[in-house]
Amino acid sequence: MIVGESIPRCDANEKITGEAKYIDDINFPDQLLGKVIRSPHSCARIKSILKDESFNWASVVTFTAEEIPGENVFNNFNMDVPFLPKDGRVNYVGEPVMLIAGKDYETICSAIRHLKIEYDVIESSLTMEEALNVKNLIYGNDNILKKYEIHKGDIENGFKNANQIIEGEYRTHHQEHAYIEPQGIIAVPDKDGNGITIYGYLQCPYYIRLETLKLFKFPPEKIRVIQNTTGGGFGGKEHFPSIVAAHAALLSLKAKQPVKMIYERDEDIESSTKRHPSLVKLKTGVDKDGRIVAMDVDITFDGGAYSMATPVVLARGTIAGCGAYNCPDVRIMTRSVATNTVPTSAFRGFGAPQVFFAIELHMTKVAEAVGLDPYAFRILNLLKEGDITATGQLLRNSVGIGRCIEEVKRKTDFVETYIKCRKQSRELIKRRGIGISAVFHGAGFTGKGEDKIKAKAGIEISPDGSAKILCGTTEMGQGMRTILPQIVAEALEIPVANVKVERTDTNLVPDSGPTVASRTTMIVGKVLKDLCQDILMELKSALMSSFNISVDEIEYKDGVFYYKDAKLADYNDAVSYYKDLRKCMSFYGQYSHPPYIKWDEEKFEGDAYAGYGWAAAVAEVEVDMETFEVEVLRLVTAQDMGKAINPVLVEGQIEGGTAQAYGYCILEEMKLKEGRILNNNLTTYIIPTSLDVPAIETSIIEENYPYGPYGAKGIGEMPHVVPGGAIASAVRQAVGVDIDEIPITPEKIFKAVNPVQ
Amino acid sequence: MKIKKAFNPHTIREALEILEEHMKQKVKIIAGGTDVMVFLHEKKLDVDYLLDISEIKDLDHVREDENHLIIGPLLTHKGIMENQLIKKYAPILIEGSAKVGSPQIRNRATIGGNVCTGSPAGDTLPPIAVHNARFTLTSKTEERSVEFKDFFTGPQKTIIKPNELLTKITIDKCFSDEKFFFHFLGMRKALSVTKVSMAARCKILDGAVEKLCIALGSVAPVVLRAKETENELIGRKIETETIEQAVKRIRNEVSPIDDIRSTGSYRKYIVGVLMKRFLDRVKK
Amino acid sequence: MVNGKHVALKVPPDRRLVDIIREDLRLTGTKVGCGEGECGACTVIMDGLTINSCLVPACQLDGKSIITIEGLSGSGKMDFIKEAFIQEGAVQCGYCIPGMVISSYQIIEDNRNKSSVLTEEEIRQGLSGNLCRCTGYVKIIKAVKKAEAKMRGVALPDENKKSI
Repeated sequence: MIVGESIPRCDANEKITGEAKYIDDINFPDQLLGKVIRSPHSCARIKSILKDESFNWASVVTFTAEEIPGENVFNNFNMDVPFLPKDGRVNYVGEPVMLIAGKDYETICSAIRHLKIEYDVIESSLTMEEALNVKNLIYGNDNILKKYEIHKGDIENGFKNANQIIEGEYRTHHQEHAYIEPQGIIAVPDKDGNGITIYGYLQCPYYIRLETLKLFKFPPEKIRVIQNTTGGGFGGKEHFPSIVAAHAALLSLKAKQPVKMIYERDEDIESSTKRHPSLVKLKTGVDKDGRIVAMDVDITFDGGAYSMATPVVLARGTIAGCGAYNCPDVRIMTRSVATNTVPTSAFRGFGAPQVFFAIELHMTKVAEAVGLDPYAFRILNLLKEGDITATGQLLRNSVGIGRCIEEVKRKTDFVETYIKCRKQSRELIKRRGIGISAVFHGAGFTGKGEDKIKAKAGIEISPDGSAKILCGTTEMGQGMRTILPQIVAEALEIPVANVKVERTDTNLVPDSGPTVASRTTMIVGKVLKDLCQDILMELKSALMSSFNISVDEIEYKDGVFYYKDAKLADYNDAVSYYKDLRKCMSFYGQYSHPPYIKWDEEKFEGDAYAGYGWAAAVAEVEVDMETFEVEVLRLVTAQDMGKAINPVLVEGQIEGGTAQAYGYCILEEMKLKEGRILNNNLTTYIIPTSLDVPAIETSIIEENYPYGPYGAKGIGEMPHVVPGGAIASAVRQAVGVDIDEIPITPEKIFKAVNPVQ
Repeated sequence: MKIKKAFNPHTIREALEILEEHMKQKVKIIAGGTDVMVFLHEKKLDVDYLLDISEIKDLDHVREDENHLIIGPLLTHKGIMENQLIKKYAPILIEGSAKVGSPQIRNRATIGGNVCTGSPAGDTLPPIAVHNARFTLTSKTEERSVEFKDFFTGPQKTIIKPNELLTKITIDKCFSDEKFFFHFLGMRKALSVTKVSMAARCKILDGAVEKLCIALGSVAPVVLRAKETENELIGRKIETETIEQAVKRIRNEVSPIDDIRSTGSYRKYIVGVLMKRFLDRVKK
Repeated sequence: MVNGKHVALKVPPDRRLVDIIREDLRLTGTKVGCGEGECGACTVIMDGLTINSCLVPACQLDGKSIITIEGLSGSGKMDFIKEAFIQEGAVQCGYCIPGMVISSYQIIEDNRNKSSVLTEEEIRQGLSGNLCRCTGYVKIIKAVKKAEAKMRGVALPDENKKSI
């Protein structure tokens, strides 16, 4: 079995030796550098752009919104995002105002100094509250970018049956992806000016085509997208590169020269999308035994100035609204509002980390209110196979949450430690706390998403029998280029060394959908695995023709075709037979959802995801009760992603996601003043160093999913979803005061405890 | 905007000649470069000439006389951390240097740079402040010695004149019967800028405080000596009541601000916590 | 000297070492992540010490000896680290990795003559100037332990093997 084996990733060597080429490592002859001039105001109208004639403007290329050949709209979601200001209006600090390209940055900077841009400043709505009260209008007629409702059972009745009702309000703030490689694109125009090639750092080559579709006058297939080695994505390269690509492309088409656009770190932090800030209000009814009987959930996300992926991020947050709990009567009301701040969009976990942090901290309080320890309360209430989720989905299979929570409980002696922490003296300077959390994460797109995308992938068989995978999903560090070959090698029963992945180039590979939503292994892997069955069938039929026998009588085992137990041909021979019969050696397949999946987008009801990953975590913390510094001593997590195709790569995802979540909960605080991000570099936006990241202990739980390749579901995002609630619960136990907001900084604990009065 | 030239003198005299000659232009002295290069990158500096002093001989040594250590400003933080004289006579300076940036930064950044950048968050400044640091500033024609308290005039502002070079940092030796304290609160455990730091030294004679120096980082525009608190404690015995009073006193002595790293009220509170920790240690 | 070869270049005095390495010498294994000495992606060895090459101006380079990832890798001196990084799965997106490998090499090298192997704390300290956003450092730290053990020819204790 090559599936399940931790083979080393195929690109490790070139990355270690520095040979791997990232976007800033390549250059084109005659290339210009591009730069975006950005708004210093959170809401304003551009009055005039004046060029000082003393500057030699022929030495640079400038580009303004009026020059856009097609439509100035990001072709996705709410269709509200302009590439350059619409009617001169800017809605956040850092919004692109105009573009400029020149032979070097010195020339560009000199040109910028000779530009005078005048604005009429407009009053802005900087907080969700201001935007909801429509202090000024940013989107539609109420600033609501998107809203959803979920109703299950009868909420009024549910609360009538409740013995106790527990309420809480929880807040989260922006998080920056902080990929170590900044955003970068090179656009190379076709000689005839009727097409463009985009090289870059990106997660979704076909999104660039889709999202810039209306921008140019040429058809989408004239936009060729080639991915370079990509230095981390985490959602930050899902949609945003389409904007960078559009800017570089517009400049390069005008200049008729390649344009390279590499963001500086400050520009990247100030202008690229972030995780949505949130306000989650929860009201939970429990019966006398501690069973949850009713949940009323109200969620508001801050979408920033434009919608970007907000509608789908909010969808995931909405579905997480009831947590991983079984509850008969549920109401979930959610909305995302537009504010005059940097747009928020995709980020690992996609709306779920915010909501699960709130739910899991809240459930710790509910457990306490009903007199159960947090573990026992969860065991009583967590979803299990056969239960119905908030959207009315019957959980048919692959529900590993019970095993996950048992595992983390066992490894940490959770209940004993919890009781010990409860009995600690209040006088101790260093106080300990322990917290537990349990979550799910739907793999693949929400609802009908995968049905709409119908991911395509291909396999090309060479005459020597080796296979080449053709897929439009990308490698960004997660290991796709290692895992997909493992699946194909397993299915074709050939050595994994004989399976390669084609370069990610829209001219060479089909649209497999974006590399997001923890979907690549489960969805694209499934297409490939099924395709391998088709290929083997084709090979059998070639043997049938050559040997004049029936296909049903041919059996394929360990790389050999047998006819009634007699060896007929090995795999390579069969490929030769096939090649002699048919010329075409390329095979394509398309994803189809399991047949039982039903989803009503209007009512937000039904099978939200075909398969769910499940995870649990325990955090142990020590808080210095004088300085309020929080030391996370240990993060223990168990995660069910179905079959782990490559366990070491799975662990890598879990460890990295856990570290990001640790940063999110404890360190990373984005500070805005009048809409401007103050900590716009890695000196002041604090991500964890090797000295900060706590000990992370990982267990892989394999609750196989029957429709995934070899039982695999998704893992990419879930590690970021689960730690929040556990860490916050642990801090709460140690401190003895509610802190319902992350990141939990010493300053926040200080304010909550207020030791000096 | 564009830097016209860089000078690479090999002696102090050469460096001073260059400074004198270019008094009217904007000359930036660069040693380890870990601050200057960041300022240049962020376009916070307008410079005509760079004066690289990193090749000047004998400016990275530590010498001693009976009561002092004389530290060459080009000594790196790595050098400080490995220096036996500093280990013996100024151990809290080693703790301060250990908090600077990262291994890569400590390999390059110098104590002189930390002093001349003059940030109230400079990691080594509170430790040298409690060692009564004096700075020798040399120009072509003069040499003067400036006390710590007179050296810093505001955030990133010092009294160094354009024709002067920092050539010596002289600190008092401390002796084994003294108690030391250094504590640093940052935003993370490495690559961290100070929220609050405190360095202190104390000598007890017959159960009472004989000598006491306390310096605080990041709570004022410059690194602050807590003089009022020091004076109040001198001659007194360290008892629970004294500690409580000192905590209140030192909190009243500072008025830190809210900034990107922390809040004023937290910082004020923490100053008291660190005071208590220091005196608790003294009491033991 | 860059990677053992003499290099003579005429560049502006404030040109950053990292730009000289990447653009003038086309050695693109050294990366730029922040330009402020924070991320460590541009780490190289200068005269035996790890430094951030974004913080060294050209005017300080006369007579210096620089080793970049290409030099280290070409010399074969870091093969044991490379092997350990590959085996432990320490690499994800890879952008921080050349810098991380250089720091790893240097801390192992600096510890060569000491009697005991690096502790986990020392490794964490030694890598604290290299930010990684993918791995949580777990497998990188393991790889450094493994590499040092291999270099010294000692067996690593079979620590925390997975229970299931």
